[in-house]
Amino acid sequence: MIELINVGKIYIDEHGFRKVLFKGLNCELIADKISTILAPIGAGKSTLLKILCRLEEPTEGEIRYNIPAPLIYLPAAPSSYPWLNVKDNILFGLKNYEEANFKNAIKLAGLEGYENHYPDNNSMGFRFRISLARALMRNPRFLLIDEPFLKMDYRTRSELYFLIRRLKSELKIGMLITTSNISEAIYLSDTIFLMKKSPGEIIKKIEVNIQKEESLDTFKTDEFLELTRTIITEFKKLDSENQLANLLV
Amino acid sequence: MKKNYYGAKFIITLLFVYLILFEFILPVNKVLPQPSQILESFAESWNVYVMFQSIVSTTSVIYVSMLLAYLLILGVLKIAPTLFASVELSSIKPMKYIPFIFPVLLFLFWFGASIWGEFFFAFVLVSALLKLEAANRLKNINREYLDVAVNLGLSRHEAAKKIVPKILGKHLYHELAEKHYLIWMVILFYEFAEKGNGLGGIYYRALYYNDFVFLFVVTIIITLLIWVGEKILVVIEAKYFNWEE
Repeated sequence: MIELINVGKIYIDEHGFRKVLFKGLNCELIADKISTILAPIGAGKSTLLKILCRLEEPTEGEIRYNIPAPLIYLPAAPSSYPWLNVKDNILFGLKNYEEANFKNAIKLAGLEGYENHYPDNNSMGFRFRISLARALMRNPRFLLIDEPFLKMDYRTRSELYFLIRRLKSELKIGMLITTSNISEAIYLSDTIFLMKKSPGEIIKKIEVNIQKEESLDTFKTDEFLELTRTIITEFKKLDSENQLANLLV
Repeated sequence: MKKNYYGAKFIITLLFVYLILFEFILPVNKVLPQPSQILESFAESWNVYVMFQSIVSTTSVIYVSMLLAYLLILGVLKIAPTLFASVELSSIKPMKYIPFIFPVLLFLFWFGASIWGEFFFAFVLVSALLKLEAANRLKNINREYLDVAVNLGLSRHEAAKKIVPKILGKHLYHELAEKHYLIWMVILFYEFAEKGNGLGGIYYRALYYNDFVFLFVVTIIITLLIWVGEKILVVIEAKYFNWEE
């Protein structure tokens, strides 16, 4: 489990003003479950993931890790190195490895037969699979995935949704995924944290207890649509509160 | 895709018009030389103007300095990947208004008419161009590449040493190919002002002897050399730097 206690991040912007990106974040991320942070763009989701994998420091609060290392981070922008082929990308930074592990990683990520291909910037799904295989080579217990499905077509996206759910159930890997897409959050997650922006704060935790099939029909079930409506209502409520607050000011 | 060869067709048409007009219709004129005179002069040039030696001299200065400057900057990036990040580009911006004739004359004052002075000038020029490009590109390196490497267990310095030279190596090479023509022009001017070595020196002598026809001969040779040089640079780029970010 990863426990966030009152985590906050303040930064100084380019004009020298002090900005609160997010504050008072409290949540627990369970080791073998998929949690999602569902928030609008600019709420500080990427920064939060970087803090969780220790690439950045929080300015307040504490994070407790009760989970074995490593925590692998998959950024939103393509992070596979375009000058290396798939195999060299997956083995990047590893001093030694077992061939069986490598074969297993490419099989799980759906990259069998592509070992000598080079990542192409136009194929975001392909590049995501490389990043995923690279993560799996390290036997992670937890993945931090930042807005992974931006700029992907619907077909690629749905294939990767199924892949992520499969990895979770077969390998018992926990994940924290950030997204601004409600359907994506519901389909992928066991728990959703709704987050607002300016400043970023978690406003609600929702447990997702929907039967999920490897089929797009799951998106059309009554329970799925009902949960979608609930989340929209929560965000609308927040919007109207903001408008009211603005009127009072 | 089918090539249309518009450029080649245009050049052939111009040559044809020139041939007809200045060989047969206006053979004696003060505008352009007769094509047959150019051909004769071309054959003579190898002896009278030591053409072969000049071609070797100028191309060696240009391409050896390009290669050495590229390897130097890349070597520095491999040892200290973020060294050029400290270059404040805005502070040196006003320097772009200094006419390039000034550093040329400065080097001529310092080193006189010598091939080593010319080579040193070319090396300094190309190194400066590449250093500025490195400083500019360093600010735009995809941060995710470095973050991921650090997350995978490398130190910040190790990550930068593995990633920065790879990315900048491609951009610096592209910069060399882009500035290829400019480098040629500056070196030709250096040789012209030096009144000695290389193809620029031949321009000076042709002008000095009022050899109107030979100005055309040397221009044709230089044009072909620049064209071939550019094609070779493009082929190398396509072979070794064919990845896209």
